[in-house]
Amino acid sequence: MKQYLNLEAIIEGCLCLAFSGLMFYMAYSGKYLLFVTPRMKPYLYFSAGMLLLWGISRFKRAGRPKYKVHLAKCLVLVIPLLVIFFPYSPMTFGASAQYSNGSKGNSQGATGPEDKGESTVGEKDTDKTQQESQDISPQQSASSDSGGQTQQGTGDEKSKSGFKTKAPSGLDEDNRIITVAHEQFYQWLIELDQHPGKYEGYTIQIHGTILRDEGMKGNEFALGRMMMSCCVADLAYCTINCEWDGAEDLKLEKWVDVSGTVHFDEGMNARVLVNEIKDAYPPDEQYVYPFTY
Amino acid sequence: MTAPVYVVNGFLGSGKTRFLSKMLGSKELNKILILQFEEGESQLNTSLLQKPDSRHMSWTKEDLETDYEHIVEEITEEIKTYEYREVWVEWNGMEAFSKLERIFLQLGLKTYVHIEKVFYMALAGQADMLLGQTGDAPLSQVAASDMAVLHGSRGLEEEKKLKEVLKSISSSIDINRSLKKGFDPKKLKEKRHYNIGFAAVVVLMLALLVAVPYFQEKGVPLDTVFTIFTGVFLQGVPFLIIGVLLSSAIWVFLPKGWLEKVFPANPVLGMAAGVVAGFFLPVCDCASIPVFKSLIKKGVPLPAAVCFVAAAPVVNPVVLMSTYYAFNADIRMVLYRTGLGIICAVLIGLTFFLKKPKDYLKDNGRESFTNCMCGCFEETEENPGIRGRINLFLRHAQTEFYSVGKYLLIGIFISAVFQVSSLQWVENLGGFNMPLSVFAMMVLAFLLSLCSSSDAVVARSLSGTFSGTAMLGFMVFGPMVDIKNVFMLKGYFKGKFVWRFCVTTFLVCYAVVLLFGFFSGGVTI
Repeated sequence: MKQYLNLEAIIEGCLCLAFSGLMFYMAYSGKYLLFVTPRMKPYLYFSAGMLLLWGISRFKRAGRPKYKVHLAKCLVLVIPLLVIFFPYSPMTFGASAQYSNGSKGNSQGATGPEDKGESTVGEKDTDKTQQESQDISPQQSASSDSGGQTQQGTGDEKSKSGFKTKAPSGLDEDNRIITVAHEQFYQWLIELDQHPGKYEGYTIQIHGTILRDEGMKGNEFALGRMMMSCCVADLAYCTINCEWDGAEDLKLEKWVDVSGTVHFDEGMNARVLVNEIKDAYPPDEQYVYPFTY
Repeated sequence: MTAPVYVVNGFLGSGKTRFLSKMLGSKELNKILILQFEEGESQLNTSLLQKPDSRHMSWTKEDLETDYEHIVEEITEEIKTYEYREVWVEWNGMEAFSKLERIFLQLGLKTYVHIEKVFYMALAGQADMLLGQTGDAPLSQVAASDMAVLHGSRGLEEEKKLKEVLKSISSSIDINRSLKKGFDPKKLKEKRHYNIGFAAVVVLMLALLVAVPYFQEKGVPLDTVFTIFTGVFLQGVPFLIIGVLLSSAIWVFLPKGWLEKVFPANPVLGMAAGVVAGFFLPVCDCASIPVFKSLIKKGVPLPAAVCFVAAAPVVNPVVLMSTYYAFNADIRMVLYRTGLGIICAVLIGLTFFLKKPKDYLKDNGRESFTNCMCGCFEETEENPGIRGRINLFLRHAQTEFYSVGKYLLIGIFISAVFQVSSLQWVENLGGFNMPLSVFAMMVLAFLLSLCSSSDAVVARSLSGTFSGTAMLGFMVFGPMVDIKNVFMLKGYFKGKFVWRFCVTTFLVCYAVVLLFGFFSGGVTI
């Protein structure tokens, strides 16, 4: 019985399996969220499956001899493996994608900072009190509760642009309190923007990072979160303006819990008149993902 | 040191025997084994055959077909029993190269011989005519050859054509014309190392990755480039896989001529069908380009296919939704983007209808079911039927994944660099008049190469600097053509075609968006 060894098939098979493992790991561990939105999870599993299939089919050819060993095509697998897994890879720095292209810094009209400075990653969130809302994945419907708040907002209100919207969870109408869960940051910003005046005077508890730019007055700062619409390439801050006497002395990019009152200015833009600022740990999911389709 | 085996491939009459004679020359020829599997007009110089300790063995094609296992045994025995310095093989022009591999690549012979170099004799006027028309076996020979020896051409044109044919089968083959002048057997025998390039790239990547903190100190945000690279890659690769699977399915499973029959003959209806097909492919442009290529190869008229590839990234449901949400549930932007996108796609398709390009596919559109030019010659002789087709489908998709994937990686890397660099100078143009700002936004869209669902969000974030019309330019042109797409297209099509497609798309989008801007009095958000 003659025996053969197809080196190219074996190497290719190993690389396919490694790549498949990478896709699976990224999806399973949640690390993919640093780079793409939750919507990509099933696609990553699909890719892992396909590469596994291809890897197996390559190993099946290991017994057929081949003279030319061409590995160049495997660079398509090798390069991403290197980039994603290497020690200095983006993952340990927590996706330092806050690049200095200042014009990409805002979405809701509130101004973001011109100079983004350092990445805020580092401390893992171990505080159990922060854990409560992280189990709620953005894909779940808005009817899930967070932090023990009571009812849903009364359903179909007509918004600014004439379309009906549903208030995100965390609204306590009786006591006029809004508790903004981590992953509802963007949704609440939209809700406030779409219903100017409706939430005037409500108490709000919201969580984000401190941002300031040159145009702001001494008692102004913006509270922001980075949001990812499609992938890390379109990361942009969404912010809400806040007023606080000690704003100038606040440390930039610090994670804080803010309590205050919702107020709409002359331009009907939402602001928070801050009563209290407390230090906070960053949430497990750094980014907010507004589009959960 | 094991003895080197030199193989000479080529059609009957292509000059294999004469080449063999020349290579062997008149030097010391003891301990040489010569194996001939072709009986052509030329005869090997008999003096070469009578040196001590050398041997000449020959078989016909019929022998190979009927008595193959016995031949393998004979050769194996011969090599194991007698110590040879060199082995020369003249292979048969119509036999698959895998048969030769099964003789010499046995693990049992590893300590005796190794294949050192494989030559392909390419006679002008014969090779370019017959390759592709005579089945897979000759193609497998070209694919496995290290060096092609060209001869018999009567001019540069003929030579160029032959070169193109050979390169389209095996892009790594070395072309040599030295039979006439400076024939140096030693030089021709030199071993080529294919995987040096691979090793070099890996080392370079590792070097870059290690140097990331160093670059950061110098203010070069290499880590951000890698982050964006990873993000766009993770976003794109699942759709690339879907795209090559679809493309491979179209190629392998659709019967020949079926698409031609079913597709509307009327060019207008054809283009409309192309646009509608775009709705049904809710994937990013990484998927639509492989499908585009397969549709064309399967007979869909070019204008309709162009409509498809231009419209698909803009009209797909995911993109519509992201536009809707990015502009605060403003349906107008969705309507403008989609409407203008469709108009542009149809116009672009029309230009290709009015002036049909010639010869745009990279491999000259070579047809034939089994002959798919993807290097998978190994499979085709076995497993006919549905199982064989599924294997072919998977293998073909995988090969396409590699070939297009490399272009995608390059495109992503370049666009990541642009995304990180300051494009302020482009954005500053936004403050000027409408024509200039639309132009600037379209250039920005090209350089940033965002996937089509991100376009809307990023366009929105630039709303401070740019007018609504300029943003429409960004959102309509961006999905159709960008750095990533250009590289992927180059993997399938000739440079001229890619260039024409890009320029046409740019001009059409620019004109349509600008006209819309003027007539609508500007778009307010």
